[in-house]
Amino acid sequence: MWLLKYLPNMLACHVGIIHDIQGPSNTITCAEASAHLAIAEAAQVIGRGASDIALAGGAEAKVNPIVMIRQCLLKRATSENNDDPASACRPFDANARGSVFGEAAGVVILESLENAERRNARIYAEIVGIGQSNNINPTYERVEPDGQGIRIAVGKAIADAEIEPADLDLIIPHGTGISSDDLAEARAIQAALGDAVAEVPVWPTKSMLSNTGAASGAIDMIASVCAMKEGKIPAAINCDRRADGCNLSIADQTRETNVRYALSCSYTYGGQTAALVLKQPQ
Amino acid sequence: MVKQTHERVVITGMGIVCPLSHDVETLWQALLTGKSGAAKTTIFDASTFPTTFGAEVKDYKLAEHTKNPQLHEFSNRGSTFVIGATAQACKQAAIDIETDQPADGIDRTRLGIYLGAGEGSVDNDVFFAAIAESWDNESREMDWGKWAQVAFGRMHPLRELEQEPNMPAAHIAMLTGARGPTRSCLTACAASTQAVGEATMLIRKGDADVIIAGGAHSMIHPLGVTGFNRLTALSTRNDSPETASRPFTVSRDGFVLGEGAAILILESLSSAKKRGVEILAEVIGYGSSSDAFRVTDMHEDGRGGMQAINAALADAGISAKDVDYINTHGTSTAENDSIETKAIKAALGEEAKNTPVSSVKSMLGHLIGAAGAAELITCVLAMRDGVVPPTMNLHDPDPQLDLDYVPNEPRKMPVNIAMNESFGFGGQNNVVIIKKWQ
Repeated sequence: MWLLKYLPNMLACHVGIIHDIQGPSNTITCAEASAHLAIAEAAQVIGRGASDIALAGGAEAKVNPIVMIRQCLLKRATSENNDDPASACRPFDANARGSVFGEAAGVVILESLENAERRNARIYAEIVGIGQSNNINPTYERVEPDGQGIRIAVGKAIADAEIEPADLDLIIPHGTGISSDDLAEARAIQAALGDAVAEVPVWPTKSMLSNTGAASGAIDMIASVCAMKEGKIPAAINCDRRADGCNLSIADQTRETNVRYALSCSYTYGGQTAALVLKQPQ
Repeated sequence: MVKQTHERVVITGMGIVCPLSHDVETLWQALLTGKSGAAKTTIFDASTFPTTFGAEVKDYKLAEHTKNPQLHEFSNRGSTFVIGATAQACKQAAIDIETDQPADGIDRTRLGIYLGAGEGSVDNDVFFAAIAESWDNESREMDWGKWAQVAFGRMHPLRELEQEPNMPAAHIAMLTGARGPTRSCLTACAASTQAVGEATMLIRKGDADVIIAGGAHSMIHPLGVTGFNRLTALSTRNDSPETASRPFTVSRDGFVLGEGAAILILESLSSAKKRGVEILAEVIGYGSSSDAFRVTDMHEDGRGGMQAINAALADAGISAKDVDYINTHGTSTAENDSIETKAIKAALGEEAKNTPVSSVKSMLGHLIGAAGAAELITCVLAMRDGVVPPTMNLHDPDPQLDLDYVPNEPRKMPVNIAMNESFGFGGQNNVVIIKKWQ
């Protein structure tokens, strides 16, 4: 049976067996972009009428010696903050030295509006915009320096939502703490948002959660919903001095604000990139 | 709200690297003449394994398929194969590759990738040497402190990265400049049929004009064969590799592990017409379902497969009698062939017995993640030439299985609509239906 432990679709199959879920099931294996892409696809499966409800999200448990060696070899894991782990993951900070790897699972229940209304289910948010693209870089363990793929995905998600960049009240970036990737992402978000970038709070959750890999996109969607529900964007930590070239409005103070539209995005080594826009329910 | 459009989706290019060929036409001739891709394993010394043979890709040279082999130097086997398959498919579909200035009329932000792709093999010698040196024989435990020192010093960063299942898609992006929706999935043996199906849906919805879709996988390595042997999924007919894959026979004893990559260029009808490229077939239906039963076994009444077939028929807006040919999952395992037969009968009813169904795995072996896309290519060719590939090695039919399995000889017959089925461990069922373009 040990081979099956390595098959990525086993997670979904166990969930399916537990809850007798016989509808469409897919397992997206796009590393750190997986959850956003899975949620995007599940929304589209519901949109085309192939299911009424979908469990969508991501899971990762990679805090093990073999994977940690891999992240260290690729110089993605920080090795300079071993004495103070809580301060180690520093997205968009001038002293960022790499990412911190964590483990997690995040799942959201997606449902057609019609089905949710019929069931009288509480609606937490609506998926209104999906953007997908690809980073292309000959040195593909890093994101291309200008972040073009991220810019395209963010731009597509905003266009798909039929809103203007200034309508966004929150961005949760991928922001891993790997300085070259963070800089590429900052450039991409700046290019996609234009002048609006000065006003939109950017909340890098990995500063607190660490990089939970395939789960991270789902957790960021949940964090977006929480911000919408509470009318509050909590302060990110570990961004004391913004890195050169990063002109994002990092949410380093907790702020009370009405979050109508929230965008979150993720990308991965290898290129796959996604951005989703959530809308507060009316 | 997810906006829907109604773009029709057509196939405009195909490419393959598989145990029987490194191109589509050679594969087709091999399948019509009943050739087998199986032989003694050469990738590693399998002589003491329960199964000593497989269907390997032979004599494949990456440099024949790319101008920049150095860009793909550290690729896993699956990525290496997918580069060749993509190059062929793009050539047929008139998509420019390996250029900064493509002139093929395709907006790169609307050119996507969707693969059902497997993980790469570990870097065996380095990996196992590092484990051996870090094993503490007294405590019978790994010394992880030592592991870190040994492994960190020896492992190659990119060879490690290339083991990730999303890497074949990365190589396609480098080759083609694709900036549209890109996903990689791994739903075991059903992955590349799912990839083709979901890619079709992305185009139908209007998210992309063209998607490079298919699969890539190689599990012919010591861990892969050990794993499948432990599951008793592989044939152990070591004295006769060529006849070991014998779907629907009473003597079937497991599948033959293959490897390879298969790519189909999916394109919106409007894009294909605008670009003036030849249309090979239309994708008209896709259905996906889950058994929700056991991680190792299919539900015994075939309900999962039946639901996927029914969903695909409904999506295509056709009925059972419209299906001219079914390319089965047909693995040659006791369980699959019997439950798949039940699923087809449950979905097609009385029409099942009138519908020829065959398994090219009898010749090609089981390409795992790449299997569905490879087999869909054979469906397109069956339509084009009006001939259905046979199920080879079918000399002792299982008396319990009573469909028309096209035994041992190809059959000349017009094929207007063909269905391709793929089922995977964990109860993943995916079905794609294609239609002849006229």
